[in-house]
Amino acid sequence: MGASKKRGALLWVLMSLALLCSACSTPRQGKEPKSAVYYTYFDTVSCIYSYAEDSENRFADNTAIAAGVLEDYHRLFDIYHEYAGINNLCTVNRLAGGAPVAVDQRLIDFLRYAQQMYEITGGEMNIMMGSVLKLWHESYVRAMDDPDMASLPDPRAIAAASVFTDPALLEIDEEACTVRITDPNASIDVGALGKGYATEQAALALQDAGVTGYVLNIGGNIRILGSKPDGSGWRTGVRNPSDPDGAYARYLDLHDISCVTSGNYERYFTVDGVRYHHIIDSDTHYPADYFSSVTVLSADSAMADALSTALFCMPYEDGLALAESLDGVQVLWILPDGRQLSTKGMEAVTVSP
Amino acid sequence: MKKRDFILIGGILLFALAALLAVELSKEPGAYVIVRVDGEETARYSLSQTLTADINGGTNTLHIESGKAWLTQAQCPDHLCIKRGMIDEAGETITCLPNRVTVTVYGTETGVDLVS
Amino acid sequence: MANTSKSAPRRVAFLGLFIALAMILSYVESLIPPLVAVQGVKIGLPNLVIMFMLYRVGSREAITVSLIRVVLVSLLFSSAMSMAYGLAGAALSLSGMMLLKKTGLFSPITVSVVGGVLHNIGQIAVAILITGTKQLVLYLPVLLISGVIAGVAIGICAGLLIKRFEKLRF
Repeated sequence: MGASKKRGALLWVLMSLALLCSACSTPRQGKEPKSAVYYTYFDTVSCIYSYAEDSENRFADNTAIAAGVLEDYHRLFDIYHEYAGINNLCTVNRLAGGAPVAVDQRLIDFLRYAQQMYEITGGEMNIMMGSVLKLWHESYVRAMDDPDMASLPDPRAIAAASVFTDPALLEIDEEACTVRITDPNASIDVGALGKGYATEQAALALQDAGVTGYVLNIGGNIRILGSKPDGSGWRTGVRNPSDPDGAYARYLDLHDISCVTSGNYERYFTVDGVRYHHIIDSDTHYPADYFSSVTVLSADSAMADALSTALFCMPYEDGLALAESLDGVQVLWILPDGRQLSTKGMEAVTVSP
Repeated sequence: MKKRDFILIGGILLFALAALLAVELSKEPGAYVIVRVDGEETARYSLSQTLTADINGGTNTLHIESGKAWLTQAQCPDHLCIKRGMIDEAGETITCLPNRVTVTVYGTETGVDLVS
Repeated sequence: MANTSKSAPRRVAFLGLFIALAMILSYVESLIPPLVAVQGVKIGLPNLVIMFMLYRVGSREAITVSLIRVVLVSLLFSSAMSMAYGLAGAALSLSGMMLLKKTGLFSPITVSVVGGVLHNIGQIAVAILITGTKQLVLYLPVLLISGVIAGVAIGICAGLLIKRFEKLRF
């Protein structure tokens, strides 16, 4: 080939290289929210986001407020560890059947709230399920250690444990600020309510500090404070239970509200090809199978958390009646076949993908 | 070399450059990474955190900081995966073929702020 | 071609020589520090041997040497895993080069370019299958460009060799 053609080819290559380099260095922009992430609370990931144009210092101060509250409740609600200087639920469980335990006023308030929730949900939200949940938890941990050794809890053990799930086994003395579990076989497990309650308390603390335009996402427990600075809502994707990593089942536009989803895809183990998830129906003492997921919107994050679990464990008709009896509660039910049922207010905040 | 040689080579280059341009233009900032070993997802991490994690039982070590992810340690002959450097945009992948490990950045799917 | 060789032992000896040469070039290439940190961006030095064989010895011999080189190199220097990448790349690249050469329309440089590009396509396809990461396809453009550049370089060198050894018969 001729010299000029060779030069032409060389030019070609050089030009392509130049183009390649310029394409790589195209600047991109996009406003990222400020965020803080903690791994220490409630065995989950806690994220605090803000689109508000706070200074770094202000953001740090605000996240410290929320983290402080989460830390306190994490310790109070921990059923696996005790901490020096405080009596937490682990202490209360350990001393079940014994003398009353002096506890923090915040724990008393929480346990009272849990009792109210028990009434409201017709017993579906029961923190005295500890004895049964312990068995399922053990099976779950065993399955995680070695999936081949996965096995269900012994049905007889479940039947025996279920005797000790009566909420009356918990005595609260508000004046003395003590609590007592009256039977040594009973225990408290706040898995279905604790995170939501703590999230709400953290949100209230932020509200007291005049904070707006923030979001707390404590292991999927979403609590939104206000709107984004430009007034728009927070675009929230609801996972598709049959493909949690895929396209969302629904998009919501949310302001100043809490959003909590309970789903059968979150934590489960498999025995003989059958999935057993972590949401245990307090009636059957087995995983509930009415729905694949239930998403609840409510101003109060504790309410949203409690209801998402309770509604997951009751038929649609009962759940709808319960949701409609409560103020400002919206629900999205996703059925195992993928069908979606929802309350009117849920439709109102649904937006196109 | 004849004209048709140039046309064929030029065609391949043109196609590659067009594809490259398309890839570059469609890039969006990343939100999280998915770690795969042998094609199976073993972990996913948000890019909005600081973290160091062992992959594949320690054959590689992943570090995430300031919205970028990179490998800091690798038990493989070529260490190409470490030389690959930082990735932070959706679609970018660090590959360690000897250990069959990939770390791929994903963006916020269709622009949601939150996931429930 | 086989019928031009004088004896079977001579043919075997030459094949051994070419295999050794291709393996040495693989080794030399592994010593070159990577220019770009994308897996698969390589010059493809062994392709020099394959190109030469395609033009001066024969297709069957080129296939033999190519496959034996891939198998031996991955057994000796890396893992059985890299054999999958190597074989996929080599098979695709060789078939493409042979087809193109058969048309008689293109120069060795173009044949080598197509070989380089197909080699990279084959490798990335296997990598996607093995790692289950389809995003790797996004690296195809870079690998195509690198394949073209490497192909041109190898093609020019191979062209010189082919001309120099015009009168030789193996």
